[in-house]
Amino acid sequence: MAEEIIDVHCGWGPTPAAPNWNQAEAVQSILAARGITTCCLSSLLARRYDPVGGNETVADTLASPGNPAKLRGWLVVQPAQFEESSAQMRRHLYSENFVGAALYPNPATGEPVALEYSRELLILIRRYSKSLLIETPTAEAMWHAVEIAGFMQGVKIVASGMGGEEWRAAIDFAVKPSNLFLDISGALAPEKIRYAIQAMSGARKLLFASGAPANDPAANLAMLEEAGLAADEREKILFANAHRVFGWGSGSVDAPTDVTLSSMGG
Amino acid sequence: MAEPILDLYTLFGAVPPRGAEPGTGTLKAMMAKYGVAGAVTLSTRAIFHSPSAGNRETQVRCSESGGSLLPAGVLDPRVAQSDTLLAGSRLICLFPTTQKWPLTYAPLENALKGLVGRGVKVPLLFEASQPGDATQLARLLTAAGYAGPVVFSGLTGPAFSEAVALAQQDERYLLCTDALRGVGEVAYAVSLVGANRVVFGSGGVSRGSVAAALAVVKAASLSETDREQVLGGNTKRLLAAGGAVA
Repeated sequence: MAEEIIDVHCGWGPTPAAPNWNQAEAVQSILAARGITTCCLSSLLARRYDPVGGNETVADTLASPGNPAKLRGWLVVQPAQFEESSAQMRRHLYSENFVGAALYPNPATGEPVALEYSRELLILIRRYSKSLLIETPTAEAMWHAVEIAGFMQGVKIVASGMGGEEWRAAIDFAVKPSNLFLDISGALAPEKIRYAIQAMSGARKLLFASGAPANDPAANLAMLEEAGLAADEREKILFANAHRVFGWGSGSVDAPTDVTLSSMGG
Repeated sequence: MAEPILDLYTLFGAVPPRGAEPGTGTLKAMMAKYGVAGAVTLSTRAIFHSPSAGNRETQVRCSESGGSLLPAGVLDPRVAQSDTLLAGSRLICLFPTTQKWPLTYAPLENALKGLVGRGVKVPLLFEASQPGDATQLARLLTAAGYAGPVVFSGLTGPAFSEAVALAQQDERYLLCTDALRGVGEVAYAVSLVGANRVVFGSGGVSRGSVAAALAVVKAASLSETDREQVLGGNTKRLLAAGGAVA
């Protein structure tokens, strides 16, 4: 059986270089060609411009069975659109198609996600007992994610992007909170993986992500290979830790099944 | 593959504040592991500390490599007469963003004129990550009369569009793959400017991953002929035509 690989954070939406990145079959085919077996994606439209419209597009896509790569979603929420985000969470976060809610830096200013602007929304997110993704393209963004992790005890948080080029400082910030997990997207620097494993005394808080289509998963997988990890560390990063974060069980036998929208939503 | 894989843009040494092991051992190990037959390289000392000491270090390390590494020199216009510190270089690299110098800068104009005056025509590798920089460089090169090819690196978003526009205007401009890491980006670049003007460069090992850069090109939807050009043929052609700085 081929190795399981869970890409915990991708985008959904076309780009000039990947114009079909809004067509499930094309995306699944590209992911499968790289060996990705499950991918958790969020709408690029929702991140940058229209959270409601973008999320609905993803929800429609996830409603269809996912083969050859399984698709799951992150629901993009926006503190500035509290009511709309709240309604969409009620509609979609009970569904197993969505692994959790996702917060991104301010699309207009680039300001990182911060507790002071997101407190009310975070309290609401906590009710759903799902994961929370926070994009952390800088060390400053990671600092804020650490603060949010302290506020969100009991919620598993995925910090995506590892602080970008500022990965060393970002990893140093992220060592302590036990509920904060780091995906390895961001800078293509194999040494950051080794550094994180050393700083965190193991690979138990690292997850595989590519950030596709902005980054080809082939590059992130190659970076991971170049890092020269032990087999157990690699397994944790590629899928085992993701199972833990998303509550999918402890091994590949409990991989996500194709589920239909929960009747609890809406 | 008939053509050997050649990496036009590699670096060795530390990137402050990060340390790194000195020398080219890691670079050579990565090249061997991933089947890269040859690379053009430079010491990061030339970027972050001193072009004279760094370019000398590059020459020494390349001379010890048995021919697998060719030297690139850093042209740092902040240093007086930096165009005279490039002897033996097969590629001249300019890093305005990393080194924080402006394109509207008389020392740069003088340096380019100095190269032209000495008949230098080796390829330039230009860090074009800031929108507007590539366009300004193109104007400076035309004004100075520099005849060699130019490879733009660090291309993402608007900087990519700018490099493509310049390449569509003038065939001496080429695109480096170092920052083309998105799904479909290498094939997209080839579709816009042709396979003969997209050049494999990884930025490894100090500023990138050789394995990751190579994986992206290998995963790209290209014909095998186009892929061979990108991965080696174009660098071979550029180096053969440019010679070395005297």
